[in-house]
Amino acid sequence: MSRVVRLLALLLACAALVLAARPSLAQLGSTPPGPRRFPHTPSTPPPASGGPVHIRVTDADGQRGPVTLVPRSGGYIGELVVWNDGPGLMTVSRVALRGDDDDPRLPSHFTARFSDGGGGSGVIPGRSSKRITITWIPDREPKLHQALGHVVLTSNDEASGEVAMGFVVPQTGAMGFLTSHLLTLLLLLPFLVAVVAFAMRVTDYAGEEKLRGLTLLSTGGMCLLAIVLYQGFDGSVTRGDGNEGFQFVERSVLASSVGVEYYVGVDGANVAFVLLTALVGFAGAIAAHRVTADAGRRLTTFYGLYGLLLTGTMGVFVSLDLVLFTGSWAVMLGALTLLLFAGAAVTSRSAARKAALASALSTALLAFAVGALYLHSDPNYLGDGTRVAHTFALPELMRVAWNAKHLTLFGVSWVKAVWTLLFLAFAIAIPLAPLQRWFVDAVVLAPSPVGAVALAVVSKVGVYGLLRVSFGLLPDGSRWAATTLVAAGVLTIVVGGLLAVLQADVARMVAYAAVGQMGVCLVGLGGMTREGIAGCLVQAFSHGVVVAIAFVLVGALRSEPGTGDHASLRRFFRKRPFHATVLGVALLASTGLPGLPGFWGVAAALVGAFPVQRALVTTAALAGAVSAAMLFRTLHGAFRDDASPGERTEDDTAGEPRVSRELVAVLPLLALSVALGCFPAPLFTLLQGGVSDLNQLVNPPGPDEIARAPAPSGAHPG
Amino acid sequence: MPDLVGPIQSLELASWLWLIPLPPLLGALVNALWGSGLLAQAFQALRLAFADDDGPKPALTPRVTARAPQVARIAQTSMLLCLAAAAAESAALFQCEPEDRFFLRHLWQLVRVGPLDVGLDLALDPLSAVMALVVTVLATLVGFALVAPGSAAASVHAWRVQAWFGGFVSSVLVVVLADNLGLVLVGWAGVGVAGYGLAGDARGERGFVVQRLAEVALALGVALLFWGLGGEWTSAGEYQSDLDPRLSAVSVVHPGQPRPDADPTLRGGAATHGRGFLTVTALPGALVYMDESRSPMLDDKGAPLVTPFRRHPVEGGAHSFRVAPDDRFRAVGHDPKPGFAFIGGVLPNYSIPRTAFGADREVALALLGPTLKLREIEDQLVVTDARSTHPFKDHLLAKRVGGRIGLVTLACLLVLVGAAAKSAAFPLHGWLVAMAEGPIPLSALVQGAGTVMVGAYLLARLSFLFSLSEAASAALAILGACSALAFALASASHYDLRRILAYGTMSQVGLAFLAFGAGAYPAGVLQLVTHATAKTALLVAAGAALGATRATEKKGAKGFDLREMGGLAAAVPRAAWAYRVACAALTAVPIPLIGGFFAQAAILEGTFTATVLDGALAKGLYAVVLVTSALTSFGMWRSYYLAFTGPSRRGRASDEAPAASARVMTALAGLAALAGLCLGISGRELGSDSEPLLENGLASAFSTVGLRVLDVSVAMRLGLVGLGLAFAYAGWAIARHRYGEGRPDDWAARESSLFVLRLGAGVR
Repeated sequence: MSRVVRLLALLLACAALVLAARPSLAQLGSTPPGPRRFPHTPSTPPPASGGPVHIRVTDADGQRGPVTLVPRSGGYIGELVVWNDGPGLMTVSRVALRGDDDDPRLPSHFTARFSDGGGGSGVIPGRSSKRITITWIPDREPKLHQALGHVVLTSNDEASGEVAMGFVVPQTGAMGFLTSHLLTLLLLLPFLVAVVAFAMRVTDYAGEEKLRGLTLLSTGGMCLLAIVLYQGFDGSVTRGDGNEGFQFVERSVLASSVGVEYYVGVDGANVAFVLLTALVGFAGAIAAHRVTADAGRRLTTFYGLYGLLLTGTMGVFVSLDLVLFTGSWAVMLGALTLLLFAGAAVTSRSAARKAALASALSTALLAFAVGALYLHSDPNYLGDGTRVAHTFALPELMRVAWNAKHLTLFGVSWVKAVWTLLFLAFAIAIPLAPLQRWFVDAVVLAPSPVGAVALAVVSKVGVYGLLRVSFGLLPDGSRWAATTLVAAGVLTIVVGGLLAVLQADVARMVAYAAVGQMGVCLVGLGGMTREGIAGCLVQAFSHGVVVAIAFVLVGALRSEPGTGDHASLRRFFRKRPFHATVLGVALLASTGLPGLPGFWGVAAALVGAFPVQRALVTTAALAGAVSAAMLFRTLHGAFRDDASPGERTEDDTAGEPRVSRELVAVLPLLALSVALGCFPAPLFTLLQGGVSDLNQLVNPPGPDEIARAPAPSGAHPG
Repeated sequence: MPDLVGPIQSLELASWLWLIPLPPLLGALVNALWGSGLLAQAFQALRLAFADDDGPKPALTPRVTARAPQVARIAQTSMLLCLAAAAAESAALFQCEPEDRFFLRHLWQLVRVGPLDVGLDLALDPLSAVMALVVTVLATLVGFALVAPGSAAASVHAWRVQAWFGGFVSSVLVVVLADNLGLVLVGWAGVGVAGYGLAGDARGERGFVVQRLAEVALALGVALLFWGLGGEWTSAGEYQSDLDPRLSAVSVVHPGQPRPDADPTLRGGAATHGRGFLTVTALPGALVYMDESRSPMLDDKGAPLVTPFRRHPVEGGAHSFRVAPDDRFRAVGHDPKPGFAFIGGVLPNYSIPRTAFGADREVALALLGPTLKLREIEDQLVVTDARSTHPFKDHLLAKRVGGRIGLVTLACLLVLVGAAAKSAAFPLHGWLVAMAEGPIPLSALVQGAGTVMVGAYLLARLSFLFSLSEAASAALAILGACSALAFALASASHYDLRRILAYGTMSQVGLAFLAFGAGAYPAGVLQLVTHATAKTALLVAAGAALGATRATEKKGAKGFDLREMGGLAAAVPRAAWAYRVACAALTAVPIPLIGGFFAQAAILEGTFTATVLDGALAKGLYAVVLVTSALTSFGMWRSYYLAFTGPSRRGRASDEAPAASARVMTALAGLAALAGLCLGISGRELGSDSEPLLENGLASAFSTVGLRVLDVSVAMRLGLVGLGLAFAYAGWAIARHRYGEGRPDDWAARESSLFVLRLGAGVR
C-alpha cells in the first residue's frame, strides 16, 4: 500500500515539476509569441508611406524559430517569413547571415535572400509578409555535417532595430536520430539510471539485480555512443570552419527571458573527456558489482547517485551554456557528497562534511563568476533568434572584449578578479596542492567504483573548466596568470608525490599520487604553446585511463581481508599476481615513465611549457622523476616476488577462487592504455583543431614571431 | 640551383630494420605472460568471474614453475633471431657506398604537435650498426651463460629473469637504433626499468633513481636544444622564436664533388636539359605536390610518393613544391585526405618556391629549425649558403642562455649529466657499485653492452654537437679523466672481486669519455667495443668460476673477497683460462696487439695530438691515460693472480662449469682477444696510410666532427704508444711480482700501506 502511495507522490512531484517548467517549455513549443518589443517608443515619426511599421519574423509555418533547413538537390534549403505587422510600408534594407570572413560563424556557401528575387533587400507593404530563402550548398566532402546560424534583418522599423531568425541544419550521419541527438542521449542514459533507482527507492521495489543490469546496459550504451562520437568527430575542424568549431551541436531555448539555453556540443577541447567519462563510467559500473547493500546504505541510493554523478560530469563536459555548466557542476559535486553521506562509517560522514563544504564553495564561486560574466555580456541572440540583453552561451561570451569595458570588481581589474574566482572554483575541484585533502578523503572513503570515477574523471573537470571557461572567455586573464598556473602545477606535483609516499594506506597512496600528477596538466596549460595545451589534454585523458585502472584494482585489493596497508598489498600480489602487476604498471604509467601511456602527454606538456618557464618546468620534471622513483621504491617492497616456493604453493592453493570482476572492468581500459602507449597519434589528431583554436586565443603569434631567418631562407627562384 | 648546399645525409629505406629490436621484446612478452603462468591464471579468473556463484568453486591451478628450460629457449631463440637480423642489416649497410650508409625505417608517427615530431623511426648508420652488432653478440652469449645451474635463471623465477633480459636488450637496441631523441629517451627509460627488474631487489633501487634523474637531465638538454634551434631567450628570460620549422631546398653535395655554382652547365639560370633528382626525408608520411598540381607526385609504379623517399627523378628546369604532412593517400582513386595531424601548424603545408634542377643534380628538401631528429639537426649544421658560411651553425653558436653560457654548451652539459649518470661516471657512480653486488650475469649485461654503454653511445651519437662546444668537450674530457684515474685506483685496491670489476668498468668507460672529449671519437668507440667484450668475458668467467666453487652460497659477501680466494685455476681451469685471456685483452699486456691494444694506442695518440682542447690539457690527459693504463693492468692482473693462482684456500670444488657455459666463455674470450685486433689494426704507427677497419667504417658517422690533429712524425707516434705500453707492462710486472705464484701470505697486510686511497667505503 505504502509503495503505491509513494509512487503516486513521485508522479505528482514530476507533474508539478513539468507544470512549473511549462512557461519556458512553452516557448519551445507551438504558440507563437507576440512581437517582442524592445524599449518601445511610440513617438517614432511614422515613415513617409504613412503608418508605423512593425517587423516580425517567423518560420514558414508562422511559428517561432529556429528554421530547420531540409535537404534539397545537393544542398539544404529553408524559408523564413518576414511580417510587417504595422500599416506602413516597411523597407528591409539588409538581409545578412551573421558573421563574416574575419569572424566566420557558419560553414561556407550559405546564402539568404528574398524568395521573390529581391536579393538582399525588399519592401513589404503593411500587414503582409515576404519570404526569405536560406540555402546551403556544402562542399563535396564537407568537414561539418550540420550548421547553426542566424539571419539578421535590418529594416526601417527603428523600434525593433535589427531582428534575427535562427536556423539549423540538423546533424546528418549514418545513424539518423542517434547521430543528431548523440550528446543528449549520452546525458540521458545515466540520468535514466538515476530516475529508475530513485523510483525504486521511493517505492521500496526490490529488484537490485535488475538495477545492476540496467546500469550496465546504460553505461555500456554510453560506451557505444562514445564510439559513434569518435567515428563521427573530425579533429581538424576549427572555429574558422564555422559553428564555432563545435560538432554534434544541439541548441534550444529553455528560458528565453533570461537567456538560458540547452546548448551542447563537442570540439577538440572536450571530446577526449566525453570519451573518457563514458569509458570509465562503464568500468565503474562493472566494478560496482562488488558494492553490496550494508547497514545504512541501500543499493538503490548508490546506483541513483552513481547515475547522477555520471550525468553531472557528462553535463559539465558537453555544456556550452554557463547555466547548464554550473548546474551540472553542482549535480556532480552534490552526487559525490551524497554518496559519502550515504556511507555507514563515521569517517565517511566526516569526509562527507568536508566534501559538502568544498562542493558548496566551488559551486558558489563558479556561480558568482558566471553571474559576473552574464551581467557584463553584450546583447545577443538566442538560438531561435530571440534578442536578449545578456547571454550565457559560451561561444558568444568568447567574442566579448572584456578588457575594452574597463570594469572593476572589488576594486581590482574585473578580468583579473573573475579569472581568480574561476581559478579558485576549479582549483578546489582538480584539486590543486593545498586543497586536495577533501578530494582524497572522498575518493578513498566512497565505494571503490565511485572513487575510480572521481579520480579519473571528476578530477578532470577542473582542468576542463580552466580550458573552456578561463582560457576561452578570459584569454587576457589567463596570460596574466600563466606563471601562477605553472607554479600551482609544480606545487601540486611536489606535494602530491611527497604525500603519496608517506601514506600507509595503499588507496590513499594511489589517490595522492594520481592527484599530484594532475599538476602536469597545469604546467602544460601555463605554457600556452600548442605543445603544452595538447600535452595537457593528452595527459588528462591518459591519466584518466591509467588511474581508473589503478583505482578499480585497488578496490579489488580492499575487498580482501586486511587493513589495506602495504603488507596487504604484498599478500595481494602473491594471491593475484596479474592484478597486482597491472596495478603497478598503471601506477608507473601515471607518473609518465617513458614508453608507457602516460609519457606522451607529460612529455608534450613539459616540452611545451619549457621555453616559457624554464626554471619551473625543470623543477616539475625533477619532482616528477623523484616522486615516480619514490613510488616505485614503495611498491617494490610489496611486489618483490621472493617468496620461497613452499610459501607460494600454500598461497596458490587457498580455497577461495580469485574471482575478479575488476579485471573484466579494466580490460577495455587496459587495451586502450596499451594503444595509447604505442600509438598516441590518433589522440593527438582528435584534439588538433581544439588545441589550435585555444592556442590562437591565448597565445596569438606576435609581431616578434615573424620568422627572422639568419640567412637566405632556403631557396629562391633559380 | 638552391642557395643552400651541403652534404645532406643520403639514406636508403630499409624495410626490415624493426626485426632487430622486436624478437627480444616478443620473447620477453611471451615469457612474462605465458612462462610465468599468468596468462593461464588470468583466463581462469575470467572464467570464474562469470561462474554461477552457487556452484562449486574450483581452485585455480597453481602457477607453472617448471618452465625454466622452455623459457630459456624462448629467450635464446629470440636473441639469435635478433642477432641474425642485426648481422644481415649491417652487412647490407656496409655494402653501400660510404656516403649512402644510412638505413631508415619509419614505422609510425607517435606525436606531431607543431615542430615536436616524434615517430617510431629506426635508423642504422655505421656507428649504430657497430653498436647493434656488439650488443646483440654479447647479449646472445650472456643469454646462454644466464642459465647456469644454481642461478636465478634456472629457478622458479626463470621467467622473470628472462623476461627482463629480453626487455633490457630490446631497450638497448631501441636506443642504438633511434632516429630521434624522443625515442632515445624511451629506450633509456626501458634500460633503467629493465636493469632494476633484473637486479630484482633493493640493490637496483639506487640505479633506478639515478637513471630517472639521467632521463630528466637528458630531456632538459634535448628541450633546450630543440627550442634553441628555433629561437632564443632574451636576457629577461622570454622566449622569442626566430626560425620557424621550414623545408628548404638544399643541393646535395658530397665531399669531393664540386659545388653547383662551379658547374658551368648551371650558370645563367636553370638547366633545361637532363634530369635532376628530388629527395625528401623530412616529415614522414607526407605527400609532395609539384608545380601547383592538385594531385601528388607518383612514383614510377603509379603509386603515391610518400616521404621519406630519395632520388626521385624530376625533369630538368625549375619546379616548386608543396609538402603536405596532413594529407594521406587514399588507396583507391588517388584522392588525398587528411591523415594524422600536424597540430595547429602555422604552416600546415610547407611550400618551397621554384628551384632549379640541374642534370643529375640531387636536391633535398631539408627540414630546418626545431627538430628532434638527430639526422636533421646534423644536416642543418652542415649546410652552407652562397658565401660558403654555415648560416644555421653560426646562428646556433651565437645563442646564449642567461647572457653568458652558450646554448649549445649548456645543452651538451645537460646531456653529459644524463650520460654520466647512465654510464656511472665520476660523481654518479654509486648505483653501479651497488648493482654489481647482484647476480654476476646481470653485471655482465649492465657493465658490458648494456646500461653503461648506452650513455657513452649517446655521446658518440651527438659528436657533431659536442664538437661545436670547446667547453663541453673539455668538461667531457675532464670528467672522463677523473673517472678513469679515480676508478682505476679504486679497482686496483679493492678486495671484493665484483667491485674490482665494476670500478674497472667505470674507469674504462671514463677513458672512452676522455677520448670523446679530446675529439678522438673513433678511438673512443673502439675503446667501448673492446672493453665491452673483454668485460663481458671477465664477468662470465668470474661468474662461472665462483658459481662452480659455490662461493656465493657458502660465504655470502665474503665469497667474493680476494683474501678468501686463491688457487681457483686448479679447480676451474677453463674459467681461469678465459679470465686470463680476457685480462690480457683488457690490459693489452703481456701480449701486445690483442684486445684493447689498438684502442689504447689510438686514445694515447688522439689525446696527445688533440687540437680541440687546450695544449696543456691535452698533454695532461695523455698523462692520465698513461697512469690509468698502468693502474688498470696492475689491478686486473692483481685480481687474476690473487683469485686463480697461489695456494687454494678452499676445498677442491666438485664441478667445473657446464659445457654450454664453457663454450660461451671460450667464445667470449676469443672475441675479447680478437675484436680489438681486427677492428683496430693499422700500420699508421709505422707510417703507412692504411686505416683501421673500424675508423674507416665510422668515417661517415664522424665526418662532421672535423677531426684536426697535430701532425706528428712516425717516431713520435711510436714513442707515444710505446710509452703507454711500457706503463702497462710496468703495472703487470709489479702485480706479477707482488701477487704471483710465490706471494707471501701476508700480502694484504703489506699493501694496506701502499693504498691509502680506496674509493667507496665499506671494504669488507
